[in-house]
Amino acid sequence: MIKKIIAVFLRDLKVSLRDFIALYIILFPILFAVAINLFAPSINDTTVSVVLLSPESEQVTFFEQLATVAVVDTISDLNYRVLKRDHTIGITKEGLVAQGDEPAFLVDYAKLLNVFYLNGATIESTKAELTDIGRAIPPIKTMFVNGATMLIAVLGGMLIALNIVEEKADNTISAMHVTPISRLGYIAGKSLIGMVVPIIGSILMFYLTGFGHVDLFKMLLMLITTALISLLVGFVEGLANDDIMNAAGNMKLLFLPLLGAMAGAELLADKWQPLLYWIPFYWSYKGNQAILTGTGSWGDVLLYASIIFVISALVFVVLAPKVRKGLE
Amino acid sequence: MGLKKLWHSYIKDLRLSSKSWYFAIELGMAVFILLLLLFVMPENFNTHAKEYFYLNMPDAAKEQMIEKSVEANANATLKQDTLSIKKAQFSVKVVSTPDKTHYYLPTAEALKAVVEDLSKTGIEVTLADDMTLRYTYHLQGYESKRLKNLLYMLHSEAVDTATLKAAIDQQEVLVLSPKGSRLSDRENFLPVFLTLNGSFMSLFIIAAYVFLDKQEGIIKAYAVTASPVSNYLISKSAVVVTTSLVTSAITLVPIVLFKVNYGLLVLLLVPSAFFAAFLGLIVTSFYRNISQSFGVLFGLIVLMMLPSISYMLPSWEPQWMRLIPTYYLIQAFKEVMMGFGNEDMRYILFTAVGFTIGCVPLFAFANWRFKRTLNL
Repeated sequence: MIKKIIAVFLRDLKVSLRDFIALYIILFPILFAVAINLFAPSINDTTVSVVLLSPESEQVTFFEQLATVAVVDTISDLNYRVLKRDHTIGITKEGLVAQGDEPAFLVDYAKLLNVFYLNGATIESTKAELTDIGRAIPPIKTMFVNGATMLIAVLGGMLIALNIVEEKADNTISAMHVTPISRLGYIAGKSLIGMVVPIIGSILMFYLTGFGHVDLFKMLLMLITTALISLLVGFVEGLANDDIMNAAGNMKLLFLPLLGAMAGAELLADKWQPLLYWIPFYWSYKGNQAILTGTGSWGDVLLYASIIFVISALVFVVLAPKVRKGLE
Repeated sequence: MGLKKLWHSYIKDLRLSSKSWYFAIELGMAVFILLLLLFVMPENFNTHAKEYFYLNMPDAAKEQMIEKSVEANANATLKQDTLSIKKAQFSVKVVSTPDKTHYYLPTAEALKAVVEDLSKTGIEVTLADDMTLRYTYHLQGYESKRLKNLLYMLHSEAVDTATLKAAIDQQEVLVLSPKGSRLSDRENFLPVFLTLNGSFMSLFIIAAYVFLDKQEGIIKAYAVTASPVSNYLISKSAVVVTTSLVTSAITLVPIVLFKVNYGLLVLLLVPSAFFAAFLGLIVTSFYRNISQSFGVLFGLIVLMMLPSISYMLPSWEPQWMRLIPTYYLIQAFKEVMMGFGNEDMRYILFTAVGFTIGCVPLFAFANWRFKRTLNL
């Protein structure tokens, strides 16, 4: 049986490579990796943007140590710059110039920098020392890589669903009656590609984004369990839907718990976190984060993977009648 | 005559679509997002900061410093608490004010656990020989040069930390557009939702519609009917746009009520959703089924989502971001959210006209492609 499933998988891989589908799924992690490597450093370096008047060259040198600085010649140019759509604060001898819609913390930050400047603060006269523990990868980069890993897994799930719906439309599943492979085996074989290719892609992305040092076995466990969710979703979506229109709608639905779990894990206060416990993607996000930051023990990873597995199994039990019906 | 046919075609497609499972999902999802926004997402996110101090000094000096930090703020409270980090537990003193919480750690081990296991910055404070305070920041390592400079300057001899807050409050701020209001965090999310749900998911949905019809041979049937293929394309796109309008309204209206100008909102939603739908049509014209076109559709959606990152991180806005049409759309939706009289009408109209103009070549090309593929 397994031999037959692998044969279906290999045939599917061949077809997918011909249609560039598998290449897309491999290509996306690489593109994500390039984009993350390009964006993350500049986002990490993001600070307040200020606009200054050019004659004050000493002021420009001072502010460049702390902020993104633009320089203009006249006060009307400064006002014009401040009124542009981004949040740039003007600094003049008289004080600060703001548009009025800036977040309060940005205005406060600019005020703080101006107080430093007016008081003649220097780095040399500091009473502080800085030391670090050598973690070079910023949290924003970890977050992007984590998000991309989950997006890639969902991409695999979507592909499985579309694959199955198209097979159903072409009546290949009915044709399986007259072949030595069972319909379930055929579908399992067709689904493998949506699981295996994203895992390879994700590992590639880790190496390209500087996460090659993470514990690959722990990560592999999380990747497999996350892919399991995608496999389940793709499988159920594919079998439950008769046309791609419905499958597309259901997939749109899939993005909601994915993005919700990520945003909730990052933004919601601790007391609200239990609201997300039912979402397997939440545990996947937490597990990946623990591994990528090097703070997750085997116990943590096993716990997260088990929770995902249990939720996925429960969902499968609930949806099993639908799957059976879809196979008929 | 042509318009009548188009209208009938649109009504028929809309009727069929409204009975589908897909339409029900769209409506359900809009209601779900609304419930999330109303009952789960706070009006404004918690910006309460936590700082971890280890006072490496004699007990008497330690107590005095903690007392001072309580006295410095009329709303500050002091309590003894337990901080759990992994399996370790540390007894800490906690000073809380409305904007921040200071944890005073008992030992160097607790400081190490905070830095290594919680991945937070730990601040070690010592007394120098001249009895002045010295600060050592235990950072992670990825902090930017500018942030490090900020920390150095915060403790510059020229800066009096005791009077720093007062000095900041004394800074004059000239506001150029006093009518410009700030959106709450919940309202701030709406432009991104409108852009992605209302407009650019249309790209994927129209593709699914068209591939379904391709599969069933409906498009080829247009070769032998009196109705031109352009009618089919416009009518399908109009159904997607209508769905966008309905689902956007479901999520938006209960949150903003009568605060915004709905005319302007429709003026933006309609051309942008048509723009996305026409882009989706072009992509579908090059592929036989949705699986093959999936990579391009997914890539386009990810590209269109990029400006939402710079929208959420206002200080990060590289110039190239402005080459992506959704940049303008998110900003224009934000202007609408500002409410009656506060919006930048010129910017909204500029964006609406820009998308309308953009629709023309996109539709012309899609129509040409579909006519060509019909003849194959």
